[in-house]
Amino acid sequence: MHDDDRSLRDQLRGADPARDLAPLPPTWLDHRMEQIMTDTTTPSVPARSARRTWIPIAGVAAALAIGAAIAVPLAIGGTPTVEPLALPEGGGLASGSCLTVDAAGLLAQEQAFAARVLTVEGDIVTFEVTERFAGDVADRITVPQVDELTTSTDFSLEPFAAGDSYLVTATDGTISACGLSGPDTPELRALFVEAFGG
Amino acid sequence: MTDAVREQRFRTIAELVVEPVRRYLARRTDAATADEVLNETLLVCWRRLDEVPAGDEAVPWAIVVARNLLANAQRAERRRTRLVGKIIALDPPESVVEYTLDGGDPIAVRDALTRLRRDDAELLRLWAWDGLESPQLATVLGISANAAAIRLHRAKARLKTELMKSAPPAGHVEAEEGSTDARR
Repeated sequence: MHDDDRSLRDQLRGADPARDLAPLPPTWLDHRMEQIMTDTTTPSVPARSARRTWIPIAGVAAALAIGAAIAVPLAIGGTPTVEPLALPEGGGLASGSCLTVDAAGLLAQEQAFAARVLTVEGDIVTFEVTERFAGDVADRITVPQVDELTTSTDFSLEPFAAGDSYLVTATDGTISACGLSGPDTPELRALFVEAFGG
Repeated sequence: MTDAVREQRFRTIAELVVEPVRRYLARRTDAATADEVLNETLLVCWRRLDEVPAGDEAVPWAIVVARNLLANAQRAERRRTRLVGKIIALDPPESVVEYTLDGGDPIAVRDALTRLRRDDAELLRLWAWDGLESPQLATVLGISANAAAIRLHRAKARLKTELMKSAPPAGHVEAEEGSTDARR
């Protein structure tokens, strides 16, 4: 190293904030090493590149697991659990108007889930539950079809359509209306994610 | 690698890197964060033992780990303190280690460092404070040894220029920051 460099390095070292840092106590490292080697049940983790490879695989595996959770019970002949829910009486509009739907309103509900309409037979709608956000929710949900005559005048629920997906909340075995349940739109889903964390 | 060999290797590496990493952190963050990141760095050394380079090269490798962990900790801290960011900016916390005034003017040197580009200043800190030479600097910065040597050479020249600007003429009192004149 040139003298110039040595002088510069010495000058910089004079400004080193750790210049007077006392050494660690001799036992500190021994204790810490013992702790690490004792506490760590998995002594090695994959290298970063390997972890990156596993992320998409884990994602696919998770997606398959979710699909399997729905499909396997049916494919192997297991009987899906079914829970009937009621529609709100009188359209759920005792006060005559609906409050603005927000995350707090959703959080107050006992059950929250996403579901797709499997069938509409007569006045019975059968949903297949695809996501559970809150509460115990069966594999399938049955509800009476919304009466079109009362839908437009009494409350906010539209008739359910076969094949369509919905975000649904319920309390005391009754579907919550006033915007707390409805088609799976980005707006309602954003509120569900805000309330239940996706 | 048997458990006994593995443990012995970890001990060797931990003893080699613990003080350089501890000092690296003490120079760049508060005591509590430094302690936390030092512990995490040792844990990463254990978990990624097979990746740790042999010999002295373990030190820059561990410094890279510590630097990344510190950056993560500081990002998390920034998120937590975003609302009081202005207060912190107006009233920065004191360094946990006091400067000493013997052997030159550390305040002037530190001021000169703050006037350099951030990358140049960090390169010089790694060189002078952390004691890394060009090949180790290259490891820490993720560049070639040649590029590290060139950047270090330029950074030294820039620091010398800044120190010349702030140095008071012989026999005069200290110059004010940002000025080449001794005004008092």
